Amino acid sequence: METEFTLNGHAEVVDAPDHELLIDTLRARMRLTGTKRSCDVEICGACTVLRDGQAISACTTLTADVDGADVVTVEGLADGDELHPVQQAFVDHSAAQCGFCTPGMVMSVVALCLEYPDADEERIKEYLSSTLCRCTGYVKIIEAAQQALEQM
Amino acid sequence: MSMSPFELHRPDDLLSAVRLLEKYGDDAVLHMGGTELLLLMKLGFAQPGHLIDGKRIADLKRLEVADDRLTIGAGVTHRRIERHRDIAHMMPALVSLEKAVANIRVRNAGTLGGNLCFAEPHSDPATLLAALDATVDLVGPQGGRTLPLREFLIGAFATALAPAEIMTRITVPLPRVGARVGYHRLALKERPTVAAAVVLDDRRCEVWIGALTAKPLPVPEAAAVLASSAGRDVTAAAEATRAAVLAVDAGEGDDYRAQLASVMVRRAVADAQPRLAL
Amino acid sequence: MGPNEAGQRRQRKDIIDKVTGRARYTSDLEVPGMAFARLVRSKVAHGAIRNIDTSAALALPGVVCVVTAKDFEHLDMYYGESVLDQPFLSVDRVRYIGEPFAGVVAETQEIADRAAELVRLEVEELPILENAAAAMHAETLIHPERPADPELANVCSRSVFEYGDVDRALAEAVYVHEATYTFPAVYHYAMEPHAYLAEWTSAGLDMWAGTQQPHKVRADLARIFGVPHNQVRVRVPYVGGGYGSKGQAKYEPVTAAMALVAQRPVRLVNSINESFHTVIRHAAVVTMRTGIGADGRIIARDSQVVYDTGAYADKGPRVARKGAYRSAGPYSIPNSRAVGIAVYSNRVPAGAFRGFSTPQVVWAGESAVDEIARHLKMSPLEYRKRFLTERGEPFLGDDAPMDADLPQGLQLAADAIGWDQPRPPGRGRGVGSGVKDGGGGAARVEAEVHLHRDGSVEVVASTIELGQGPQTAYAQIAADGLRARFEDVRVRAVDTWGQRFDPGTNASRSTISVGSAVYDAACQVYAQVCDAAEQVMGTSQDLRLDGPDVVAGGQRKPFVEVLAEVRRLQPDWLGSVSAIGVQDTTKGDGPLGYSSSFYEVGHSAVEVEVDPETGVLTLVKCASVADVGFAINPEGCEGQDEGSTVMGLGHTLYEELEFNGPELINPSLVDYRVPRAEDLPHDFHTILLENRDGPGPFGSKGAGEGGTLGIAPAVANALEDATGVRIRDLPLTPERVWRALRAHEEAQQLNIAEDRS
Repeated sequence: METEFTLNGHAEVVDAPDHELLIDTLRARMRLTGTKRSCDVEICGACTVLRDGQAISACTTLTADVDGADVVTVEGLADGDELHPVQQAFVDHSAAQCGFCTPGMVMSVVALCLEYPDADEERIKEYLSSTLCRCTGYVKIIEAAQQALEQM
Repeated sequence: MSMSPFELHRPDDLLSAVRLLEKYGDDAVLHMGGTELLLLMKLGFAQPGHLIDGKRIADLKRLEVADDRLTIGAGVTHRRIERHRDIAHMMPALVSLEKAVANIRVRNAGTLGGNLCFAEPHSDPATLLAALDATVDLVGPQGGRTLPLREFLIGAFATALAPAEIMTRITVPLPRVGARVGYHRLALKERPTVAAAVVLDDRRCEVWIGALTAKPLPVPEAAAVLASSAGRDVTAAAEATRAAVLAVDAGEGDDYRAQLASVMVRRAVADAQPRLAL
Repeated sequence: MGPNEAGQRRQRKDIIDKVTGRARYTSDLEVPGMAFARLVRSKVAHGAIRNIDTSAALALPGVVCVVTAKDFEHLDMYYGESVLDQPFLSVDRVRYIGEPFAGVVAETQEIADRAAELVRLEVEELPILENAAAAMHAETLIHPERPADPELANVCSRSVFEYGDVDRALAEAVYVHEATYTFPAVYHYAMEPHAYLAEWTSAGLDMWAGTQQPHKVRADLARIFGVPHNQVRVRVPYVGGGYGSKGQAKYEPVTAAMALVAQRPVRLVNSINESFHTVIRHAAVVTMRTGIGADGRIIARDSQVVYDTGAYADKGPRVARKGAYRSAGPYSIPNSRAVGIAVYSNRVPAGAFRGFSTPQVVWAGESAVDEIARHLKMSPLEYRKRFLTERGEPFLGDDAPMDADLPQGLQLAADAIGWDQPRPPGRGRGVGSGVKDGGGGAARVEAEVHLHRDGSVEVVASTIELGQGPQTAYAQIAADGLRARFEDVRVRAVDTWGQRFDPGTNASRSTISVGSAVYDAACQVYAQVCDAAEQVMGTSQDLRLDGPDVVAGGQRKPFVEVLAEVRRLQPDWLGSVSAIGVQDTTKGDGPLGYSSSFYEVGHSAVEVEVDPETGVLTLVKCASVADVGFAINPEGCEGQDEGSTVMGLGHTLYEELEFNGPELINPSLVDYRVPRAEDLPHDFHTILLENRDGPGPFGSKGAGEGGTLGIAPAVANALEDATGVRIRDLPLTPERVWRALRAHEEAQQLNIAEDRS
């Protein structure tokens, strides 16, 4: 089945089997490996991408289900060498360690900023509880989210 | 975790969807958000040859708020309910419940209808909607019918959905203005461990326990206590709940689960907020 | 000269790659002609293999090959850290549910996955030893070829450490405390599952691996495949978390074996479910007798620790040995006997996990000390401070003297949660201290520093970037050794081909060992530059490198010109000034065979609140003190300690691998709950203690494991403080807490009733 969608600002047409998952289209077909596969049961959030501005798990989304949608992955945030404010906040706060959760965590914070621009610490914690990190203990990620919210 | 191949169909209207389901029979399944179905398929628990995508059927996405009822299309996402201002105003318990479902990504994609049709015993919405005596509209080859959710849910992962039938909408009758509705849950792991939904009205009360049994468990004894005490005798209601859970559940740890159920009932009553006019 | 770059906030070298998604992990790699693999795993816990039917899988279009042990009869298929008991594919037995007995290679991952489901294993089932307790007294032996223990069955290893006269001291004690504590099996959940890519070329084996020990892996691969070390190249891209789960060889041998048969590059990426079935933390049962003298001092400790090491040894023997050794710490105890036993069972193998057996024994020891202090009616904080090993005092009998001020660190943690402030009703406070003899001993390691003609610096050091930040810390260290700019230094990713030896990125050892070698190399290069500058510029006063220029004695001159003049080089010379730095810590003869290089210290203090109705325990305040000696990268040190504390919170409150007999029943994030952002207390402090008393550059010590040590006992101690209830089993789940509270209440009512009658 052909799926037409916008990926990181570019129009794409993908002719993939009906059962292909978005994570495989991104990683294997488009070679966009920023979207990570970890728990594979839509809990950890490492494969978080935005579909029409909303966070979804690419591991449990059919590629066909982004037909007509605007999809943004971690590769689509920076403008050349100019980082997205959320990415810059992660840099400023050393909010990544092994980095495997980082793309999904960055996308989750982007979604948070879009949805709740006035989020306080409780809201941030509640929101980011949908995305797991095993290295940082979340402290610096929460600080990064606070900075991003202030700047956006 | 790779999925078996299938063919995806995208009907634009309900009738075509029903026809496709009829045509492929057991080998077809309706596909909405995919948050539960695709997971099962990835784990190899289901291998349908045809997925009938219902997301292009406009009827399934309608959401109407009236003075006396919510009419929610089966294809409405959890997130839409969670972020709906009128629902937050009239039925805050439903919104706080939706906020607790799984995680943000699942709520962005998953639908209320999908959740109910999946009949996972730990479903959050099923418990409260059963307490509110919601009804579900089903459309199949023989036409439409309406069932109380309480009858629609048969057991763990089992519903009254007939072959080729589609759930089209959920109707939630709202208790009268001023009646209080509460939902409280405790999740020790990813899914809720125990949940309680209460409806406190002058004339009728409801107490339902979720996640402990194959489908939401009514506790009429607790409801009766609350009804006769104008919602005040919470301790007796909690004890009635404990007794009811102990009666159905003889497994190990049952006294703890009965304890949690009784506490959830007390907290649901404490959390209960008056239903406001639109 | 003191540090200039070290100690400063510096942007992580790897962070731009990581926030943009450009960072490449092994599971992201592809090479031309690559095929995809999936291992086929046993559904039987214990059985003798009768037959493996691969025909249906082979018949599937797109399958390249299906391999079993039969394909490798000419090879020595066994590997392991200290005991070579684990074949890379089951040879004649399967010993746990999840053990790989075949491998499928196919054109796509989807075909490999489907084919893997078609491979059939026929076994004659053997008696199942579902855990260590069952295995110790069983007639069936999981590894019959292994030497027998005089007392128990299925013992993988037994270690005994003894000094003083424990029996006499216990007999003389005015009070003997005895209790048994249990610690659950838990899973690392490194977010990147185990991943490998192998390719055989005319030059030998090319392996990309998410490993913490590339040199160990190289040696294992060379031995197994009968090729020289110089024909095995192990490259390590970014690794998505390790915490011990990617130590020693894991699936490198089987991936190389599949590539050999397939005659193509083969990539193997586990699912998380498979990684749950690869290696876990040892469940442990710790029995401790502690004897108290008339002055309250601990005069004797007798510990026995039984570790369930699962079906294969992995690092079990070393875990059991070190755990036993550490069970007497961190107090000064004149008489001690510690026995550590690793026992085989038909469970998932257990191995290294952050803290390396110390969280298990600190859980017991710091719970016991709290119970003792309460029995003596002393403040748990003051009791500890009085008897903790003092700075300079030999540790555990005769190991290297304590290099830290333990009471100072503990007091800092207590202060951070307001230990002396009035306690709000319903809340309790607790502390826990752990000391782990640090890694970095018993090895000679090397590193290289190259100063290129343009002033850029390349550091070559075999430390894996697992997230702990060596690329940044080493750049800071090298910049200081060279008096160069941080931004001009780059640290290479690890590649065993041509890079210097390091035993592994584990045990908090890298900064003090490899980091010291980096500093040594940088200082040597600096000396060469100074020498040249004196000859050419007539001065090396306050010499520093400013990008391409040498700046000294008020002069500035391009480095390449200085060097060209001294060494009579052509101006278009493209070389570098290089040096090899060495750190040799092989000397010493402590109880472990070498002296501890430093002590990794973690102090935790918490305030908890308990919901008596549900048993839910909430962390209100939490403080962790990491004694890092000197923080080369302060944010990095904080991040490591925050992460390790929160990971420790996992086994304290939430995490437990659940088994139905031998079967792991929660190998998925659906049923295995790790800490989330919402679990953090609002009041969460990480304090770095910097006394510059470590052996690493500028007085640094290793860090990153300390937070896992004291948190569990601190929480349990706080629970007793709040409720009077003592729980000796982890995790402190709501159900466990509620049951303990109820039992406590019933006992109290019984006492009241008895008093009345």
